[in-house]
Amino acid sequence: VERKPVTGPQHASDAEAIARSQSEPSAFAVVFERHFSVIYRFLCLRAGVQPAADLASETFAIAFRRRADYDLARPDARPWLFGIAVNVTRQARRSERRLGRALARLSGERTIDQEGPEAGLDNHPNITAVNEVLAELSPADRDLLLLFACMEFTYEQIAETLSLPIGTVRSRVHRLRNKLRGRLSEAAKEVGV
Amino acid sequence: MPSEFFALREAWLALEEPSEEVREDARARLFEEIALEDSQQRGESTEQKQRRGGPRLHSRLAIAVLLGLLLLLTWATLTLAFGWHVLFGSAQRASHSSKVFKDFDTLDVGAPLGMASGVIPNQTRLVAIFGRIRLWVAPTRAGGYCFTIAGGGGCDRLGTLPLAVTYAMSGSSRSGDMGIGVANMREIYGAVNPRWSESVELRFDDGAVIRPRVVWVSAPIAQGFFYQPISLDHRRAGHRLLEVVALDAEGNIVDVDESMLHRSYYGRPPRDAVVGEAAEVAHVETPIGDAIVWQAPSRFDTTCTWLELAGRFYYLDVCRLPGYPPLRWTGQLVRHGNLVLFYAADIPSGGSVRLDFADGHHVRIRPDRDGFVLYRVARPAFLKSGQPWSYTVVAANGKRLLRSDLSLPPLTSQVYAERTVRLPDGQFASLSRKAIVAKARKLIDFRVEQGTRVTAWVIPMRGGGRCYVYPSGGGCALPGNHDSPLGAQIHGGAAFVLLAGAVREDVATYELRYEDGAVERLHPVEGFIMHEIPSSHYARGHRLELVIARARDGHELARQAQPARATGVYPCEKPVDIGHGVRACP
Repeated sequence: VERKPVTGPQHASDAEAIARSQSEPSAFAVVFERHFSVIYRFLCLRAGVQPAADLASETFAIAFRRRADYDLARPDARPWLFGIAVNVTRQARRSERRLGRALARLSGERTIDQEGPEAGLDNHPNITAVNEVLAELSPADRDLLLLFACMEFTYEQIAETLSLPIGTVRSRVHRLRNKLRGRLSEAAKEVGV
Repeated sequence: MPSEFFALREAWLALEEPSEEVREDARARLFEEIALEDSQQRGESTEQKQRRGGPRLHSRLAIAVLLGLLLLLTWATLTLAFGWHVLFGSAQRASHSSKVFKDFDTLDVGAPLGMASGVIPNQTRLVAIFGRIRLWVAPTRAGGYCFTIAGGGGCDRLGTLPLAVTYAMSGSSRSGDMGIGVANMREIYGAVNPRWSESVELRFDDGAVIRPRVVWVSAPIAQGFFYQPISLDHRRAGHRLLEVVALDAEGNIVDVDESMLHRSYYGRPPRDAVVGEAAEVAHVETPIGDAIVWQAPSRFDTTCTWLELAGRFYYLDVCRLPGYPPLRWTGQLVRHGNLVLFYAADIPSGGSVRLDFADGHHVRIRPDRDGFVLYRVARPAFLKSGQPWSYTVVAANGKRLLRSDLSLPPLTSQVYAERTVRLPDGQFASLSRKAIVAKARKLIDFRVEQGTRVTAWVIPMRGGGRCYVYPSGGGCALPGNHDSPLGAQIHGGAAFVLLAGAVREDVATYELRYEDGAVERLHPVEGFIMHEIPSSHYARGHRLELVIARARDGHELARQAQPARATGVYPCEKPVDIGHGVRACP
């Protein structure tokens, strides 16, 4: 008789939870409870503390709606979720810029663009200095760096998340390493981390 | 990991976890999506595309009873909140056997206490769970029923309403931004009467139809309840909700609620009126033909009243069920181009109505023998815009029964044709299609005591008039609309309390009087007021109790008592359970 371990909802893999959510939508809650924190914290660094809550919420709402597209052969949903989070952030930033430009045309006020590429980042004491370094990077490099350094994703997972060839991921990590050599540690010392 | 990135990893680890509040908000959002799909997957909910037009043609012919249902539910919701229901009548046993009814007596017991006065507490039942949303229902001693769901709810005193719908708007009670218009409609819930109906449909602008799950409950409730979250996709322009429809077993429309469309007139009499039995109750001659007020019974044992003029049908009142009192003495203006009529009903025998006009003169009108007034207003009387109109109902003995301001309806209903717009600060609002959003500008902008920035926007409209949007409110008005002198009202229930709204042009000072004797005097900015009630006036005994609108020379234009004792308006440190699972500040 083949035995199987007891697998309650909390022990199911992401893929199993997503598969079950096709017929039982509430099963998706497992994915939320498991990964919300990490997505939220990623977005804090990526977009700022203030918008992170809304963006993280949007990420999971979209993930739920698109779960039919999830590749059930992949037990860990994090690359997929991060991919959605990255797209949500970029989309939000594009909307912000469009709005800022439209507003500027109307009122002559300063636009978000004029405030620099990282106007959306907050002055959170723990991440301000690091953000200054991150702000010098392109959005694509920033995503890659955060996934590599913070999430400790493998090259393969980053490639999957950002829809990039694995060779491109490797070369960009190498390039970033040279570019940021020493700078991040100095920045971190300033805030005592 | 390369050592260059250790510092970044450390910074990442130092980041705080999301607060429970952030997590809970996101969880609620996700559960909305889950609930939406859950209901669809149960088989009782289907989404299907319909050809545009076709059946929707019927929807445009909705009747005044729909507005009445909303009105009654709103009334009921308010009264539920304040706990002074008087319920009477008897619920009717469902006649249809095809529905699967939940046996009321076997449903879970253990409801939150105090759903409403008149409710039989130990008869309260948990009827259904829609995702995270719990539906509680209770009969009343008098035979009606009340329900609570998602922090709202309502009552039907007789249990005979064919369809009763409540629309809930999204927003954050913490920020005070409660969302405006259909763009922010987050959920719909209501009840449908099994005596006539088998199902409910939500019909959208893009042709989509959602058939929400209906939970049928046996006598003494004898109602079907439904709950439907509205997805973000269906809050966008071109995809929004048009109507809620109750259907019978053959798919015929029993009743329609399209009150979100804000139509001012229709192309046919009320849907349910038995037109063949209509009786003329008042008429007046006009240059474009006779204006006639009709009354007719309906197939739902109600009485419908409407005015017919030059091919248009103005629904003067809801189609009233027996036992529901009419809106006593309530007068209204009906406009067809430059033709303006005044209508009032239930004027006491021997009494009269006095109409005061913008140019200072007044007329006194006697009702007909049935208490109806239908009066054609001479054109010069309404040419002066921005000036007050009012009417006074006087009893036979000369006693003033009611005095009320009147608003001249816009020339067309286009002001109410809404679209979703995004304002420069990112918030969404549903405004008239005439609103020129590109010209939106900040009218008043400040930070409240707890730090949140609040902004009042003014948006001009093509052809004149303007729209206002502010935290927890907004709207549009064409020139010629006679704003109330007391248009600025308390907006509470959040972390701060605002007094905000448009006031009439002749208001120069808005005087706020508090229970502790303090007085504040505000001056409208371009006809608009937005002011934070200081936190020192949150406590009982210190709250706002009266507002007075004064003209430039200081004379009083109008005054209005304020709800100093109302629950849930002012913030507090320790909210209390006010029943049906709702916590609020006393």
